[in-house]
Amino acid sequence: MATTMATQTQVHVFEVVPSLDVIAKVLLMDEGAVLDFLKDSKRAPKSKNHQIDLSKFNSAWKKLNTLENELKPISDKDLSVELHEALIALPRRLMLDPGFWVWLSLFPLREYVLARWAGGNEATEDAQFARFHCTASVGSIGQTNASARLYWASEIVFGESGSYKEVSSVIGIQDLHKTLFSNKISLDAKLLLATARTLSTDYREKVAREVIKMLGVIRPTTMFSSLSDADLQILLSDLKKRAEVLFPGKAKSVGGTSNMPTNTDKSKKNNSAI
Amino acid sequence: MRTPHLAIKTADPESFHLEVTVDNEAQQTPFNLYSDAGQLEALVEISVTPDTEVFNDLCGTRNIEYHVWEESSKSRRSTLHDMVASKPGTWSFKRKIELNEEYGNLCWSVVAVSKAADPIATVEKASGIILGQSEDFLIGIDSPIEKSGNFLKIKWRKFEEHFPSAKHNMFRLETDPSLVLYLNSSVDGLYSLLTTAKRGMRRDMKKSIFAMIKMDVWQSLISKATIDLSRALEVRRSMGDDLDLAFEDLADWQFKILRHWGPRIHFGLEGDAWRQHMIDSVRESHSAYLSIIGAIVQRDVHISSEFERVIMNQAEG
Repeated sequence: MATTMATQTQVHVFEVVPSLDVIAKVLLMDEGAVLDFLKDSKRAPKSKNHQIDLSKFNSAWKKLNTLENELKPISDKDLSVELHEALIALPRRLMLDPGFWVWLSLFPLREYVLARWAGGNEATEDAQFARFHCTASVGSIGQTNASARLYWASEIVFGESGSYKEVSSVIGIQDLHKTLFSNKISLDAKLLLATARTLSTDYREKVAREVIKMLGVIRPTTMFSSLSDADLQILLSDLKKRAEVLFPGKAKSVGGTSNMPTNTDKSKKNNSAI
Repeated sequence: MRTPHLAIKTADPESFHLEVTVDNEAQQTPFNLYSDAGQLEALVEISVTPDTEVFNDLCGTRNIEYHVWEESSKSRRSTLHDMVASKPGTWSFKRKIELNEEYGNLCWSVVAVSKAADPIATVEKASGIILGQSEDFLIGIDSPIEKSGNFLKIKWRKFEEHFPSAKHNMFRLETDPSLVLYLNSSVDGLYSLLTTAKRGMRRDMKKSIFAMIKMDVWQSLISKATIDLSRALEVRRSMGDDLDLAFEDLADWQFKILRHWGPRIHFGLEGDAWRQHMIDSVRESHSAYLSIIGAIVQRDVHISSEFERVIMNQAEG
């Protein structure tokens, strides 16, 4: 039976988040050279009093990596859970700190980020550098940074339901994840999970976007969190029916994951910009 | 679909009679948890005594519930807390905020929400409709409430206690050991204006005051940075070094300031070409250079348009 050796990594945080230009330079260096490059500067990542074990996550993504050395979006849901489990003991505040996510993506998880967002090659475009970058905005931590997006998808599901059962509703469909997590809806865990649950069933991109648009329209008048679970479900189903009238048609497939966009469905440039 | 909010009558924010207390002994400023000593928690207590007639009129045959709504993008929260009836006509809520759990700042308000059987009826009959929202208030966790571009911290202090010689001043800038802009919390209404005004004339007034402060702060910072650049240039020249190395002799904040403003002052140049132009200008005449910078900063913070808006509002009554 294969065993995974636990290895602890000291947590660091960039107190000043490096710009995309600096990230581009740093990605050409190994870790030692980077630390030398940043030494004696406030830009250097600072050590924190926490350790993490990423060995299970690293084994998991390498196992899911294809022969073409290119991770598919379908890997997100499993890796989201793996990363969440690896980081679950850390303070919530650290999980909100962009400087932590930039450090995690640039150093311990660099190989993973390149495999997932640059096809295992060197990053060459701003859209790929952005996967290492992070700000405190809703969309940056929620869906742009390659590591933070994995963590927060599971954090929301686990925090709301106490299990990882519905992680695939939230991050299993890349387009839905992007739309939800770029939106302030993602701040309300109950609403986010209920919306993802409703829209990921018989998923259709235009219908999903229309429902999220409608939620934005009624948001100023409606306190979604005050509704019971059943009432929230009635409201979302009603909005979905209205959207289906506007965009008639059928989902290409029901359930499963075959309707998910994959890296090979799009040009590399478009994919990296998602 | 339900009607957008502009069509709905809601209660005036003052109808809530909101009271907020923050138990946070170590801080000078009750709504800002940030401190150099790393204060870790605060207890926030909120109560409302709503005008019964106003809200009964709005909810019709539905029931009404009062909640505290806590929202923060940086802290990734949009949470509705139930309030409890602490005495007849009064609803209360309290929560301990822990620094280890939050980031940025938290925006709080009290909302009155309708409770009915139908979640998808029209707004006059449906459940979950917002019937009113109190004025919101911010609790700063660890960053300035007003964005400052990561250049400096903003702290509120009672100047009469901390800086008696400047007790009548509105703000004070310190650059050593780090950049801190102190705002005077003893000035009547200033704290409330700068931290909560989000609408109408008060918001315009807030933006104008910030523009005025920003203009002064930027000019002070650029002036200090270019004075030190001028000194560093002389040292490097005397050593026969490349003059561009003078930028490396500056404090981190000074370089950040110049890197931010260099491309704006020497507009239209490629890449880092502004550095050479800045070196030439500082060496030629530092005082003339500062007068040009003053005009550029004034334009960049849009001070005239900010004040114009306030004046127009005033004229329109």
